[in-house]
Amino acid sequence: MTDAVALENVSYTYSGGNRPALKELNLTVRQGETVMITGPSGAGKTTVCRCLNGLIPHYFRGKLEGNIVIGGTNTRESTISALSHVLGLLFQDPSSQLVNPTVLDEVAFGPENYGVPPPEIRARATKALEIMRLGGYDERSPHSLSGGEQQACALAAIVAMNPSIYVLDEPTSNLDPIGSMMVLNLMADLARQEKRTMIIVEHKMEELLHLIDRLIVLDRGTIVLEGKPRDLLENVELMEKMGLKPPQVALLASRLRAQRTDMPIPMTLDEATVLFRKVLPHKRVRPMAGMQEKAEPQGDVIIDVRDLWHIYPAGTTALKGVSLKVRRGEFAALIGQNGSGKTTLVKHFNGLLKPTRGSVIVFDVDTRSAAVTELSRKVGYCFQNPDHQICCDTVRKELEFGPRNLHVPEDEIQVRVKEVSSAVGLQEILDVNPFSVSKGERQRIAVASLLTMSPDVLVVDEPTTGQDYRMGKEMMEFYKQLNSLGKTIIVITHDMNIAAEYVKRVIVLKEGQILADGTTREVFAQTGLLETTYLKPPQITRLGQALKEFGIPENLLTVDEAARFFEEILAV
Amino acid sequence: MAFEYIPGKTLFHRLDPRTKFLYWAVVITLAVGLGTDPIYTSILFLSLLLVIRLSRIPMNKVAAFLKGIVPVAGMYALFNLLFPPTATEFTMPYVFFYVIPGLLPITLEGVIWTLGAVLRFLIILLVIRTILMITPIRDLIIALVKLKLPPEFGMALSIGFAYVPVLIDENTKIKEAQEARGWSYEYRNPAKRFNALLRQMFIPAIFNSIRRTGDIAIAIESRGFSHNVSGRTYMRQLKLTKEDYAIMCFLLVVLAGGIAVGPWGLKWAYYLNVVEVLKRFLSA
Repeated sequence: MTDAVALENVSYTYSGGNRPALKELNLTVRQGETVMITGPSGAGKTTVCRCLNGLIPHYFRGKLEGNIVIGGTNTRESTISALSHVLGLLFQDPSSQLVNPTVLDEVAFGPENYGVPPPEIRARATKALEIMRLGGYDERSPHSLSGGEQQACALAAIVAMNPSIYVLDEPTSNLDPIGSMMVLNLMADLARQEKRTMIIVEHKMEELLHLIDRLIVLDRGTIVLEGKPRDLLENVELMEKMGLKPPQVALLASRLRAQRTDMPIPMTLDEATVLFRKVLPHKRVRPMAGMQEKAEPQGDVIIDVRDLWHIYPAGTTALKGVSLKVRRGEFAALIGQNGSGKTTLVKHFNGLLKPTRGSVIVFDVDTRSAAVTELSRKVGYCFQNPDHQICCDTVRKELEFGPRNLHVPEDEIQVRVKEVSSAVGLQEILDVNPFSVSKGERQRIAVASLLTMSPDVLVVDEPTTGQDYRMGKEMMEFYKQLNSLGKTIIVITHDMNIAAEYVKRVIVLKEGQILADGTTREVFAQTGLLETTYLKPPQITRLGQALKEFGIPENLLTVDEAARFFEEILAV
Repeated sequence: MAFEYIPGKTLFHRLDPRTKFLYWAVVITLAVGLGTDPIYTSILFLSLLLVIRLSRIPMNKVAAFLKGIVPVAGMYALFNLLFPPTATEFTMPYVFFYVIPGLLPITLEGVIWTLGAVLRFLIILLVIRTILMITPIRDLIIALVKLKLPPEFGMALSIGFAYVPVLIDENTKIKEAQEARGWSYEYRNPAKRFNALLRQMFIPAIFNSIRRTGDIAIAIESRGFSHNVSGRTYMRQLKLTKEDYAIMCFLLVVLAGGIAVGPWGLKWAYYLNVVEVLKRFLSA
């Protein structure tokens, strides 16, 4: 069988880059094979994708060595548009690749460019939209869709081109857990049924491992692990150390090998459930003493939302009677699907939005009668995209910007910049231009520029997107530390594992209303309720729930916790 | 929104964009060609309102649009009233009063001229707005490409329109992100205000547009845009139907008739006719 894709000794350095993004990389993918590529941030995953459809070397000029051969053609002798005919590439950021006025035109765009007859274009477009469950969205503007729908639309646009090789760069980064599972299953089916080659760059091993033929782990531009997923899971702890996100059930089994050296490593939740049903000694009628809750926070109420309704000028009702109290010193997460009203809600905390009905009281001030500049002293709100706020030519000036607006004395500003920059790890790049650093660093600059304003409450919209699991955890450790110093932290996140591990309270929004609000344990124990809004508790929590009859508590939150229980039972 | 399309299934929605271009051309020619006779421009204006009505466009959308151009139309009216451009051809202008004694007369001729001119101004703007409300932009662009606009320009236009809501949304986000850091551009001093806007709004906006330009180039290239531009096909096919031909014939007849009665022809439609009648009435 011929190779669909072959990278032969490929090294690549971006122009202006000081180290190679890829180093003597050898990678072949057979026709019809489904391959997952994973690795920590900066491993070179996106660079590999760019090599495959010819963006490197035809768009990104840099130093390329070695050969890239796609379907027998060396990419040097071809063009991006010719390569795209056989190899469809889905980019990471969905909104940047949607360029047409309507969803239908977006999906038709590729086939139109290759001169497909109009009736066939329409048939392909309709089918692709149906597969991605976007039927009925034909005449909407792609930019009016939610992040998840945009991703589905971008994928439909690739499917309509009918390529023999698919390269998907993080196809589920904007999708909720159940949506991700659906899309990955669809693509795996497509690969199997129509013998397409599928190369998927992903972090989500839990949803994908059982669907692939081969797993490739990249780190710093080279392949560090490669093989059948089941074989590679033997190295699960190494993967975790590298900053990857292996299945929690695999991590748990590997942890238990200290006690049971013959413990097999399960790949999916179902496998794990079957395995532990065999391994665990006997059913218990009486459950083990479950995980105890910590006492409720006793601080004063600093944000009081009373029957809040918000209707946007265009007529969308984003919030429908939300009531909630935030106390000093809380560490809470807001979760919910795209469009459930999370961002609308937090924008009321610093007065960026005013209630249509109901009221929001922040530090005893009704936000309707207070200016944003006034409230921003108390409540810092960090936007999802740091590029919407960076406006200074050095990181230092960026950090000084907020406190200067609040007329903080100059010597005080300098003290704060020093403290915050060392806490966030920016002291090395204080005099660097913020536009030239990585996105992860820009994200930290954005947070730091709020911290220098010394707010009592910090609201962070998606603190971990665009960062690998390890970097995400480092950010969360930092917020945890801030929280222990007395700051109130509210994060919006779609990473359930991160929420489970760090926050103390979870508020679930669905269609503008509060679906659940309680301690993290209480909320994640309600799997059925969360599924109504396409969310799922962490895999480890669901494992505990599946093994309830063995006395495992149904509100486990982390692998560490779970390991303690399982060890105790196995030791009996 | 400036380019809002209001979906519908009326005759005017169904028409081929090329027929709509002809409609636009005829209305503009008549509006300009008939000069500023308030009677004839009123008829033209009413016919436009009839088209809007028959296209089932909600009148509040039209009202909102007209409200938006009131300040400009007001300025235009004032200017015309004070300086009627054809003042020299009045043999005996009928003066109501002088704004400055002996200077700047407000005349009957000026008032009639201005009435017509303002209506003409509204027609020229409203006809474009109406066509945009009953035709998706992409159909207009496909029609332009069919009328020999290079596809690259068509694509550029299309991307431009597709990104208008994105840019508006992005500006709001930038403003909010800066406000969340205690920023305010409400300085009294215009120089300070300008500086604040420049620094805190334009720098992120420019940085993002530069990056976006690259992203768009990559996105369209990766889906084969330059593969064979002249051989590209269009999913949406435009076809002139019997309805289109009928409307086109009708439009050409109206155009010919309008020119015949206008100031270049029989001069039936001529604002000085109105002035003459009114003068006789006023002096009686």
